[in-house]
Amino acid sequence: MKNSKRRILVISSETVKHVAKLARLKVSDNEVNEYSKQLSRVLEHFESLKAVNTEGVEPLVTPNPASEYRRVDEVVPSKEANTWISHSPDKIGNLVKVPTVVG
Amino acid sequence: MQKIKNHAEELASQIRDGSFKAVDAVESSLDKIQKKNSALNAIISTLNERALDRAQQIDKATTRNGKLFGVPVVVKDNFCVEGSQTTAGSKILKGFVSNYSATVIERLEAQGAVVIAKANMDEFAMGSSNENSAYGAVKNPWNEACVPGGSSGGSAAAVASEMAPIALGTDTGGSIRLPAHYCGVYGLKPTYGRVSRYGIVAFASSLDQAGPMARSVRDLSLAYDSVAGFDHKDSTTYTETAVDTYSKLTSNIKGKRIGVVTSHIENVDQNNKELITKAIDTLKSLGATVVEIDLPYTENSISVYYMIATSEASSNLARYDGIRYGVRAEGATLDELYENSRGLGFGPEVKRRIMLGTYALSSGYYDAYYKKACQVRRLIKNGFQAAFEKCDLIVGPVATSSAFKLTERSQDPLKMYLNDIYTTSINLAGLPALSAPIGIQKDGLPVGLHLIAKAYDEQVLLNVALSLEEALPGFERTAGVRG
Repeated sequence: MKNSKRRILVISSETVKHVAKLARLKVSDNEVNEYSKQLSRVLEHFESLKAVNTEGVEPLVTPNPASEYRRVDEVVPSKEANTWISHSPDKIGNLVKVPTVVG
Repeated sequence: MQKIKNHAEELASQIRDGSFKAVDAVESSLDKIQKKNSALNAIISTLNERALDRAQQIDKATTRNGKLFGVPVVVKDNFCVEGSQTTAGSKILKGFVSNYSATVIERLEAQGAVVIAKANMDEFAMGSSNENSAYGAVKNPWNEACVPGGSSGGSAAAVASEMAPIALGTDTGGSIRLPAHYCGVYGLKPTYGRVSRYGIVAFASSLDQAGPMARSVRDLSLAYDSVAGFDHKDSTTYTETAVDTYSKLTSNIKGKRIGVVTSHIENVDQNNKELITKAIDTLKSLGATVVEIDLPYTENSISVYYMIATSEASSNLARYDGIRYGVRAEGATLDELYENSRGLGFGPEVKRRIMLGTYALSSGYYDAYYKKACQVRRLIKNGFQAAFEKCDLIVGPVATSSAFKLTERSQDPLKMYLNDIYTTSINLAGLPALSAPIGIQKDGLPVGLHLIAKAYDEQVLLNVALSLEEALPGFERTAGVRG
């Protein structure tokens, strides 16, 4: 906004690397530089929202009220376990293979 | 083989009475895809065997009363169709075959529709130009040097090039309306909660909504009625079970109050402005009254949208970890496997949005970004509520121009995001909106008019779109139908 004091927000390479870790994303050095610049620009644009007075405004997280419907609590048959396990890229029988979690 | 009918309404009627065969309709559509797809890249996969099997069953059926009986339909590749590959335009889902169908697919099929193909799209529906697909960009059928709009660009291009009379898309921030505008077809983004999201690949759950695209309002209405309504598998769906806009369609709009934000129309390019003004004059001549309204937070809607959409996406896309489905990369530890699989499988725009959303939700920033965005979201919704006290619907531009050139904006994410200025606020407020083609501008590209209504009033959008369809000269559809 025109009258607000504009703070230049720079997302540093360290921040990008930290966020990538939180998001479980492997990013290359090139990507780190690129995201640092691009995300800073997007967040600078977001700074304009600071000029909007939201004091006492209740956050809106979903646009229309959900239905009152509640599903009946009864067991219904599902597909065989193998139907779901079959999607996994690495499996043994009905088990999904993963690297050692507890050493 | 008889020539396939242009519209679903006519085609379904002829297949119902046996004067046209569903198998011929499906074969003709698949043939068109084969001929045109190398130029347009609108389709990721075709469902030949499944579609022909279903068409044969339809031709033999004794009960012949489906709304879309025997009609070939293309669906965006983020809808699960049992037994078919669902990629969501991403490398990370390569080879994933759905073992169940989305509710909307079951509903289409219950009305006799035949799903023939899965349409190309921006990866995980993240984009406004359809240049972010792992399967390559889609081309605009009116001018192959231009984008078709995104993220349902494949669906729009398929309908515009007559591969099928109807397609399904999804709209999180404009993804049905933008490509409808750029490709000269009708596109309806229903009220949030009107259409079940069960079995659709999630992007931003408080914004995502599926809807139809078609070449006529009557087809759009038939497709919408087929998929809308309560679904016990999606608790956000509105409890009204049956939706019937088709039987209530009327082009009589006498007395309708149409809200206009003059500055929005002033902002668009001259060619678009002329056609939008002409459409509004036409509505006046049909008996509607035009009232000036104010939507004070339009400028803020892009920031709010990108903060909320990326926050929700960063959470929704956590499920792609290389463990239960999708692409898996090597990793010595579980974390390394996650990081490598996600680094390998996601494209640049998806990574960028996950990063932005994760940042916004991370410790210390939540109140400043996500919470602030949700507060302004309420102000945006209140702004629409105030406007709808003065009018029955709002009309204006879908975007600031017609389709732009491929690669023209793809290097600048912010510039691309700003493109969504007129569409995102509708998703934030959960309203229904429609893009209706109103003409072709001087350079040969189509222009759409954006119609926005109160929650659950899709009927007024369809009625006003029908009045324009009847009053304005039809398109000479020479583009995209070569061969």
